[in-house]
Amino acid sequence: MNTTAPRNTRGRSPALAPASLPAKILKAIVLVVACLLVVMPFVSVISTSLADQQQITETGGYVLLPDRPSLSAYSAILAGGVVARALLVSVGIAVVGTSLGLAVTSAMAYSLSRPSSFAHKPILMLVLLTMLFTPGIIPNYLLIKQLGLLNSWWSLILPVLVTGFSVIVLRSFMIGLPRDILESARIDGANDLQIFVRIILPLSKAALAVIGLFFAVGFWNSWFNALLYLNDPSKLPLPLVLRTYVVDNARLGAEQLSAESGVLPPAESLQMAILVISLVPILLVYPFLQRHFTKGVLVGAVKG
Amino acid sequence: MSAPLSRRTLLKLAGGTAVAATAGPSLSACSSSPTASRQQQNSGVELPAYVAYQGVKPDLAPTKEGVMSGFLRYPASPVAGVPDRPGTGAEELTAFIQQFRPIPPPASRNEYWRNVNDKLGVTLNLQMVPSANYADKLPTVLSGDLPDFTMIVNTPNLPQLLDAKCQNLTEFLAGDAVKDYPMLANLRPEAWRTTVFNGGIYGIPIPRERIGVIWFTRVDLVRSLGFDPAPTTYQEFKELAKGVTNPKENRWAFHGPAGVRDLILRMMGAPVGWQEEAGKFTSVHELEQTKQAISDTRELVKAGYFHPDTFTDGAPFKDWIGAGRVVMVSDNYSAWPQYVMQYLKPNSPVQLDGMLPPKYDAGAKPNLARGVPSFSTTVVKKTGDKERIKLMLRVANYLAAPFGTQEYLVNRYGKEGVDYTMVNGDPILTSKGEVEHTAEFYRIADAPWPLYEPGHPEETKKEHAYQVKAVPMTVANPADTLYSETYSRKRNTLNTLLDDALSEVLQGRKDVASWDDTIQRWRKQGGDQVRKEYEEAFAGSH
Amino acid sequence: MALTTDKRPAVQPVPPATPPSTSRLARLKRDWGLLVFAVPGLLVFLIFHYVPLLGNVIAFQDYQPYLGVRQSPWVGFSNFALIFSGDPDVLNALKNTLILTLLQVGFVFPAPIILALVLNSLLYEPVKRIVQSVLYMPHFLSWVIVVAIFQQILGNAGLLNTYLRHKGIEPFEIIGNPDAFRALITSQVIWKDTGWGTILFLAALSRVDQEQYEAAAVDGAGPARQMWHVTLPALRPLIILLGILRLGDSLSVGFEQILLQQGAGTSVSEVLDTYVYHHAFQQGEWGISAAVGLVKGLVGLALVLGANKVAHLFGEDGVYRS
Repeated sequence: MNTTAPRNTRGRSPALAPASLPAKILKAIVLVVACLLVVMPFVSVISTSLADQQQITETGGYVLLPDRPSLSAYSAILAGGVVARALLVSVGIAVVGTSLGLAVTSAMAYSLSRPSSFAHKPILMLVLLTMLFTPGIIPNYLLIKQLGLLNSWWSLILPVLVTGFSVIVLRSFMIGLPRDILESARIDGANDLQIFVRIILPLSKAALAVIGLFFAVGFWNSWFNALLYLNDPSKLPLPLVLRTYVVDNARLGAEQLSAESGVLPPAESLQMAILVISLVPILLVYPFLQRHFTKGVLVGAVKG
Repeated sequence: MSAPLSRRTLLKLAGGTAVAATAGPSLSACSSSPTASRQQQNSGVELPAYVAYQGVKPDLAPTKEGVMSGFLRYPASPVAGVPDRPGTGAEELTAFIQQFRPIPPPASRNEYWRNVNDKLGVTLNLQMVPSANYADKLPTVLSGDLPDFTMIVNTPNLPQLLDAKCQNLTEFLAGDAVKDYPMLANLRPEAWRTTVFNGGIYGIPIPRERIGVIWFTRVDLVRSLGFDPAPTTYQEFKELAKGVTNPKENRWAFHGPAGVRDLILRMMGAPVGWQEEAGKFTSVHELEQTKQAISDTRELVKAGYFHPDTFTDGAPFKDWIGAGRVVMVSDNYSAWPQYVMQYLKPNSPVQLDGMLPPKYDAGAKPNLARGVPSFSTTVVKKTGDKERIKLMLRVANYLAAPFGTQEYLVNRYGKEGVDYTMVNGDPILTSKGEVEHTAEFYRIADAPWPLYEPGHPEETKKEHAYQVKAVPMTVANPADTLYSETYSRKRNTLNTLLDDALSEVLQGRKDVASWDDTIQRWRKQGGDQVRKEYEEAFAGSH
Repeated sequence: MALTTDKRPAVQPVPPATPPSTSRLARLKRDWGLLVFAVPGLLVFLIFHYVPLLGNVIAFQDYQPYLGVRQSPWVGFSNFALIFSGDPDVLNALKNTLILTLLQVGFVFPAPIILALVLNSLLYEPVKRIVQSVLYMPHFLSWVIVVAIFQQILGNAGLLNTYLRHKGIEPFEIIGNPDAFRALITSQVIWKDTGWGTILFLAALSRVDQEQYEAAAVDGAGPARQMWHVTLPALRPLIILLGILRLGDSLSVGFEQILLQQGAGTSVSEVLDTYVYHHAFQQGEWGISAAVGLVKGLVGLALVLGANKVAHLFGEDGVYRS
């Protein structure tokens, strides 16, 4: 089964070396196909954002490679600074929301990580139920209004500082942490806070990174609450502003007075440019987080 | 920091078919039908007097029947239509509007907006919602305090809503009272009629024209293939479709099977929407003519004259017709300027024109469906402050200044030299202006649109000529002046039912005979109730 | 020895340091520090979730926003009657919802797991990172774009069919074809979210100690058996947890995605959420929307509790242990 010659496993345990060439090839094929399926449409997205009206009209919507690439869609969107400002707003909301959200969520997950603790089951039930029953749009709106949070960015952050899903998943990671470390810390006299900060959090890096990513992406993409709660046009986050650039073909004819509209870049290239603009920050952030949830984090913690 | 109000908070009472004057505050169980008595109440309301504004002379004259006025270029010395400033500079108004264009920079960084505020003498704040999400946000707006102006586009339970939270404007606008606001007096009575509920005038209508839907044709393609773009019989029409279809060249005759069915109905001279005879209402969908039209359309689908993706949601047909993928398509009259802007380039062969429906058979008298009189209605928040109401009406008056006035340039283009410059007599936006002017003040109040294609005066003439032929052929939907609560609530459900069934028949999954079952279901799910309400309302207004 | 039994993570559960006490007060005294940690989260939940949940009382009213809760008339259970009325359209929507949920459980749920396993077994770290970054990107596309992309490629005049037509082959009718609808919807979800779904599983896999693989190899296990006895068991608790939570959502299947593609006809494309959208939301029937929400929640709750019990039978913790 195992060959006698040493394998180059690039620093990983020899036990993990793949057995055979066929397996390797199969894996390679699967991954290459998967990547192509994903990448091709994205190439089309970028190309379309750079294409001009004539080519779009010819190809009926999406182009594979632009004949006469132009940045006019991007400059149309970024002109006037509205989108740039909305981008800053979204970054701010994402940063504040993610940090606060992680803090509150990890704290709550920690409080639920000992199944025998007082009121454990009722609190857990409370969390679980939030995933099953959601309040309607209007009650949410009225609450925000009552709290005086209308037109404030806090209305976008506070209600989602914790979600049932993130608490339950994080809790499950924390429960799976080795008990003996915790017990030995307790024996050494550490209190709950110290255990949390010095042991639990560092050991949960992978899970925290993932949940943090979910938070960040959630905040970055969210627009519906902003739609309902923000009235001041200068406070709008990026996705909401970009939605007004998305041209609804069927509707446009009925309501657009175009005589004084000037010539906008074609609708499709605007839409694709919007997509690219909203993707770029995520693409920049993700690699930094990826490190945290792909390396083994328990190595070294249990030995000795 | 507050952003200025959009000028155009248009109120649309019932999208397609104008919701008319009915509706008592709540359904009272009483005598002859409540619908009839409400209708009676509303029919008795005195509408604002109609005084067409004479300050601007169009190049192509409008007609009493409803042909739009046409301008070959912007009038050389625009008249000052509203000499008095509406506000004093201290007031602030808020408007909730749909926004179809990108969000503009806020007033603090927007000279165009500041200029509007300055000329109005009021700080206008706009709460803008992307048009696609209007229905999501409106209920939340309604559940709290309304802003000063709210754009209402077809919402259920409208009369009750108006009664609860909106201002009755009758004393300010009825009859000669509207003469204080000459630009509002410029709006036609049929538009005002769409704002009458609960026995009063409840909003300012955003007017639309009679011309309605146009059957756009790529006349250049048709001619180059050797056909006449104005067929006179249905037979010729079919031959035209056959002749222009060539899948190998990626070209099909039509997009939009429902549009073709409607066109066939027009060829037959069928009623529009509902047939009213001696007070009895029959939906056009229940008539034999519709079954025939559906059957004919199915034949055309089978023959392969439609673009293969024509049944897909959100099909980009505007691109298709520009690219020559389809040769004919039905679209709103307001799409014409859009096509001009997108496709009429110096080296492009694209030529579009409207086609009138040919005769279905020897005895037929083709007609066209008249457009709805208004797109939306702007309601005013209920208040006891009469001065404030008058201020709001003065603001609306300014915003409704028609094409050709100085105010129109302020409202739509911005500050001269900054947002636009005059090029050959036409205002052309600067790049700054393009970014700044996207605030849609015209959703609050608006004048009737003109026909105007800057840089393409021959297109304007073409459009006008088409309307001269087409508008006299238009026939109104008798339900347009009546209100049905059930229709207001269930329009989407009922229409989806019919559209789905139509699609199945046209794609061959069901046969034409199944239309009878569809009508039965339509009747049970609300069609009969709607009919009943229209008949009662009709009785009440006659 | 190590291969014949299910290998759990290396550490064995250690008995709690303090002797188990049944006294509530004693436990409170012991745990109050821990409970403090729950306070911020509880506040958020109580204020922003449970208080507005009271608004679901409109399920028993004919609620109109301009009247408010106080003035809208009460209608008892009649809003619920719509759901239980046996109306064929409602039943159709329910049927479609359940079929799509089953398809998703069968195909969409396992896909990220399999992909995560494949990715995890990659040796070359940079390749693994790049591939993963590429694969998660469709998650960020809005459904409007995803639908447009699929239409562009699979539509009747799309890339595929134009090519086939060119070659003289009969084109495939995919978009708008009711028979292909379910497969289309499911594959769209797989395309969009599989890459993203691997993140959580990869995080779980990253916690597996290398030593276990080595121990297994020493015992003579090849890659396949290593996967069976080391990798999969490491994922099992997470899979079961996510599976149970997914069950709670079974009556909600792709709202926006489906709303954009109902051209195939409502008999296959109407699901519960789109039905409620058309028959309640668009008609201003807020009470019915709220009533359906309550019913969905109750069904979801029953499913979650039931599935959790089943998980216990298999020796797993599930979402919680009684």
